Amino acid sequence: MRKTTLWTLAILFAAVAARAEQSVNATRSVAADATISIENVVGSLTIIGSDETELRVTGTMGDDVEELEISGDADELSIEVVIPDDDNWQGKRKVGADLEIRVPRGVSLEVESVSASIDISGVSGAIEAGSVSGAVTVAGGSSDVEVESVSGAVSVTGGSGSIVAESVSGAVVLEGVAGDIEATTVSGTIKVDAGAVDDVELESVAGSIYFKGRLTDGTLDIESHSGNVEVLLPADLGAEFELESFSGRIENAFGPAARRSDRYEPGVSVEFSTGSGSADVSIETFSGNIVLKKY
Amino acid sequence: MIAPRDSQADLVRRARSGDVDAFEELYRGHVGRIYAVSLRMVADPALAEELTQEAFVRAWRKLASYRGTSAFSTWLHRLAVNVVLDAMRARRRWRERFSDAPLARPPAAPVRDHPEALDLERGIAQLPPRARAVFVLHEIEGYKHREIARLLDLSVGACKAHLHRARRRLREELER
Amino acid sequence: MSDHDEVRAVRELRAAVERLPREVRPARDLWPEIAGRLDERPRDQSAAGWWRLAAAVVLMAGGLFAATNLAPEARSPLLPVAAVAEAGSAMAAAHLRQRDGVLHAHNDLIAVAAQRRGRLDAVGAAALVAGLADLERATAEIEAALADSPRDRRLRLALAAAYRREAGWTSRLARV
Repeated sequence: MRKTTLWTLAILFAAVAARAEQSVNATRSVAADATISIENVVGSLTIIGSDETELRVTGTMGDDVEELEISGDADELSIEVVIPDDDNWQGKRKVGADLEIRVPRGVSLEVESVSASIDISGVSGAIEAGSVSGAVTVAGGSSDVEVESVSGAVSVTGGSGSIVAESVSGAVVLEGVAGDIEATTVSGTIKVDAGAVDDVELESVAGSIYFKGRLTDGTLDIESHSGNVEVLLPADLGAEFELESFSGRIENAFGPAARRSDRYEPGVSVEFSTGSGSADVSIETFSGNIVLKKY
Repeated sequence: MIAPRDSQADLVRRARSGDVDAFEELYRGHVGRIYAVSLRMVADPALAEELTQEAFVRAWRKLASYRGTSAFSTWLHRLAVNVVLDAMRARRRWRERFSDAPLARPPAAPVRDHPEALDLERGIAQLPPRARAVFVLHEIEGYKHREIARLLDLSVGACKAHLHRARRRLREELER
Repeated sequence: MSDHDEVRAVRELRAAVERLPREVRPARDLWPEIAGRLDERPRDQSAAGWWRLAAAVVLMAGGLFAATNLAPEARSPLLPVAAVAEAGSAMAAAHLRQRDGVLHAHNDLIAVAAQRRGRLDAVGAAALVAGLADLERATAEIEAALADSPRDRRLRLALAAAYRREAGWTSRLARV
């Protein structure tokens, strides 16, 4: 009977072990400008740039996580939350991992998730972050930032490098950003409240677009199918404007009223320039309204 | 390298009636120009070769619609530019994402005579795709802004802005 | 930089551009591969054009729809043959080429999505489906408007842009 008791104990132990959350605490030394790639399917990722010279991962992982794999060297490090593939992914609820990763400020990041949210702050190297349904947030970057999500919201606050943001249905919010901006969405809204910008390209199919920013001699190019477009530009802006809509209304505080493009075809458009005209503003919609305001 | 006009018209006529040898001669006479514009626009020798092939294959299929109103070389050139632009559009996203790094080597253009031409070719190759397309079409191939704007689906203003930026960057490149 | 320097720099750049070789030979002979693809005589498009166009539209019907179900089935054509006919042959042919690109991209997406269905979570998959539907709706609206005003240049540009947009999104979504 002793054998049976042992088996029972073993099974009990295994069951307890399996249910327990695993806590994580790992450090690695990395170069100040290392490239770090991070992958976590479910849960959350918080990545914080700091003055420290090493990388530290803390947090918890659910029982569905096989291991936290950290590989590579001080220049190129990869962190992956390994969850074994099984066939009925949608059937079971996954817990995944909630991780906080502190990194030297100057590193470059490549971060990927499926439903895990991604929150990055204080990292000054290039950032690429993508998720399927998780929200992606980047704050205080100063180099190139590229964020994308299918259904999650993406948001970038601050930053002066080039910013590329993409989502299918999630909202894209860019605040206090500068430099070159490119935002694309299908049905999500785009909201950009920027400082001094150079080249800006915003494109949406069904989502509305809001842009406010100081354009000086660059280009602002906005295209929307059915989403409404509202643009606020400095009152003293010198630019060549081109506004055009097939069936939407155009409200224009900068220049003449829009007219029918063609005697025989529907559609309204207006082209004009203000001041020295060194910037270029082009806004086009199919059925969305266009409102151009001064600020 | 381009054959005199008479024999050129003759070659076109023969190619139209299905004469592959005649078409090969047309190919030999024009491939340099077509490859040059493709290479400069895409800054990728392997892709430029592929697009050059595609342009000639398309030219063969469309020869019937060439009515001889413009010179054959002009017709072929426009067709090739369209092939390149189609490909650039399809690849734009991918290229931006996956091959954003500046080209390690300049495209293999013959630049023995003028050392600064090498810098210029390299500078052109390193321009962002749209600025590069505008620069090559306007400055090297002599297209008008309006035409380029239509081809690239840009406003004329944006087209000029791209050209302005491209020139600025190339001047910096040459002064270095 | 003073105006004088500026003018000089522009002139130097122009001179450098003028010295660029007009012709660049590809590193290898592309002819054998081109010749291999010239399987048939050049076709007279004006004669057989409409039949092929119609056939292409019908073929396309085999392509697109069930991207929305992430299943490898067919999507119905958005553009009826009559509308294509209405829009004029050259333009329609150009559209069909683009449509072809979209079709390929969609099919790729369907294949990838079917393969990876297990890796997409439900929320992401739903957003993807809704996004594709929005893209299709937008394209369909422009197509409908164009059927009413077939000569509207801006609508043609918008439609071309919509096709490219669809193709672009599809290839991007395929990476998800």
